[in-house]
Amino acid sequence: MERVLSERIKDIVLDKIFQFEQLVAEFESDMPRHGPVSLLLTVKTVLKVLRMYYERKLKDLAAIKEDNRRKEKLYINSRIVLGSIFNIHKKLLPFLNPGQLTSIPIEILGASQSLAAKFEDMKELELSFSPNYDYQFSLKAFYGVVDNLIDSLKSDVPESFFRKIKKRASNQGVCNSFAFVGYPWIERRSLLLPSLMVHEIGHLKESRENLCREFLPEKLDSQRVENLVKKIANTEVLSKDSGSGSQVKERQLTLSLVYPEDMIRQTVVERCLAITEKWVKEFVVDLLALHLLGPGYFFSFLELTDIVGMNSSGSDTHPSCIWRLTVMMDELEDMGYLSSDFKDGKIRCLLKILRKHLSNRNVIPDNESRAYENIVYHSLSKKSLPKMHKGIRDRSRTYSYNPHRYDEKVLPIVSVIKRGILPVQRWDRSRKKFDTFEELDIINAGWYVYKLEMSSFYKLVSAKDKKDQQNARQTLFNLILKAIDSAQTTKRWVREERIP
Amino acid sequence: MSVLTKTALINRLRNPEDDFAIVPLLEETQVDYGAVNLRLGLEFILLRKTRYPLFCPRNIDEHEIRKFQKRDSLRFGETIVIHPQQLLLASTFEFLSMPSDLCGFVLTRSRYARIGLVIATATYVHPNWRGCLTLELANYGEVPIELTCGSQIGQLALLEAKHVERSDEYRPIPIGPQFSCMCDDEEWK
Repeated sequence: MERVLSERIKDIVLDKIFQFEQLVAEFESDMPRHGPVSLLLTVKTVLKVLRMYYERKLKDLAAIKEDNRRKEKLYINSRIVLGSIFNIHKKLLPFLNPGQLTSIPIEILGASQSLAAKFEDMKELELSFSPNYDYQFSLKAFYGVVDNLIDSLKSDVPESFFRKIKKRASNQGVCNSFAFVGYPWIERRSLLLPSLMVHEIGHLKESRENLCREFLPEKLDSQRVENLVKKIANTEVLSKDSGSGSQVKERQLTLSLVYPEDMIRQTVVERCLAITEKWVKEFVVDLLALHLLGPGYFFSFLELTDIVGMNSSGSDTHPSCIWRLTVMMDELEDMGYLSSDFKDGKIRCLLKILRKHLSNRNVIPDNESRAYENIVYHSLSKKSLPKMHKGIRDRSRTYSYNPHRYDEKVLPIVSVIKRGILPVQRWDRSRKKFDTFEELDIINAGWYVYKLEMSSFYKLVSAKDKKDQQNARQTLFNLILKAIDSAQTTKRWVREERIP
Repeated sequence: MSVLTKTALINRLRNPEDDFAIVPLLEETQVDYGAVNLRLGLEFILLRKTRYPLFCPRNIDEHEIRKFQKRDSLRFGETIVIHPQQLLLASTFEFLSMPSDLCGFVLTRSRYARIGLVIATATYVHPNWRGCLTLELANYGEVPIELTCGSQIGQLALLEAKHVERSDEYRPIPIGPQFSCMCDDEEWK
């Protein structure tokens, strides 16, 4: 049993690394021209190391004890993959010069699977082309995980390393030094993967350039902070007072009698600032990804929201989905996607409907249980968000995916997909040669068909019942991912004119 | 049925309105008189010989068959060795879209055939078919053969056919090698 599982895990993990290497290679060829992510080279190098190291060290991995199928699934799905990669990291550390850890700019690129993936049985893991798409999942960056793991890593790191650098700084060094990549098995054949990976790539840029500092609010909404402090200070605490004999009296105390108000204020402010920083990071990265990929990113996030639930009210680390979508919609409007200059009426109309739908929703529930989030919301929405929109727009001017490009590049690819043909290249009459489609255009075309033209795709493959339609959706995703891969190979071929 | 000339084939491949497509076409020199050279794709299905004592179609279901065979993938330019008497499922690197008025036959290029390689046994490609063709690679020679992903190992001979209507059944569009569907056969159910 152990041998069988190890083999399977090896396949899965190596396959994940391989898939991501391909993805990085695809984006790498496209990014320098569009702007921000030349730093992908770093990721690529780290991935090579991970792969090499993983292959060599696989035998050292702890054997899996679970023989229960359910445990096995969860194990493979999350812990083993991530755990194994951390294990590699752990083994790698002693071999690195401690100086390098602080000087090499490395990033953690996260995308780990939550355990919520609803695999019903093992077959889904074994099939490369799973036809089902109804899983709940999320993508997570895991800076925090590394932060927590640093203590366990310490034993493998030369002691001198920690003597010189404080714990926090060393964490940062590690966080900034490796790309850890993990994503759900099922996503490897999903259109969400390349789209949402752009968000994670955005984290690379944000982390390297420390963009969020620029957009943090100068101060929190003081009125709301004070209100919350007072509310907490006046919270009644029930205390038992021993009376004479067997009588026990109860008396009311407020929290302010136990903790000074200043201390409460400090705790509130610290928590709000921590939430603010994380939220600003997410907004910045969303906007970067939106400029890089255009409406495709918006649709991918919409799809994700659909899976995790529109009513998801956010967390300490991520703002609510509704708010993020609203911010992205504002940006799309500013980019010109809702204007009549944007030729494609269908997508403009869809965006307008979504805009109306979003405007009727509260971005954050205005209730007591979300008091901290409400302070952050009011602190950010006044000045920081407009500043952020402008700042990111200025930075991404050279590569921003504008409506003109969408009209010119995406719609021809859509017509190819609708005929069931792999969208890779097209004969260019004026240049008298085959022209290869750009990867970002292919992803956008994929989302266009998925969101607006799925019925014609069903018709093309004669998908009548629900099962066939699920298969057809997977077929579309396969086509898009294969097209990205083939476009990449074709470009490399044109450059080198031979098999490498 | 008649064979298409090289010029006719190129003209049709260049026409964006035509349903006939072979993409990506890395070089136009792949197109020859009445045929197009096809490259070896990047995905493979290998047999796990050590897992099963024998393959019995009567007792195997859709999931069992995947334990008998295993998917693997390489990168463009990487190599794979096929040993004598070994069977390997692969696919074409190119995606084919056949129009309603063309059909095709997949053949091993003679230079590979002469060292014992056969790339396809189910060789007919229907009009209206779309996808990457599954190739059944077998080495009937006596020495192992190294194959390179992306090399031109096969040929699709194209013939004009009478206009064929599309069937009404669900039509998958495979983009890699496909497992055997033997368990779907009515006679085994």
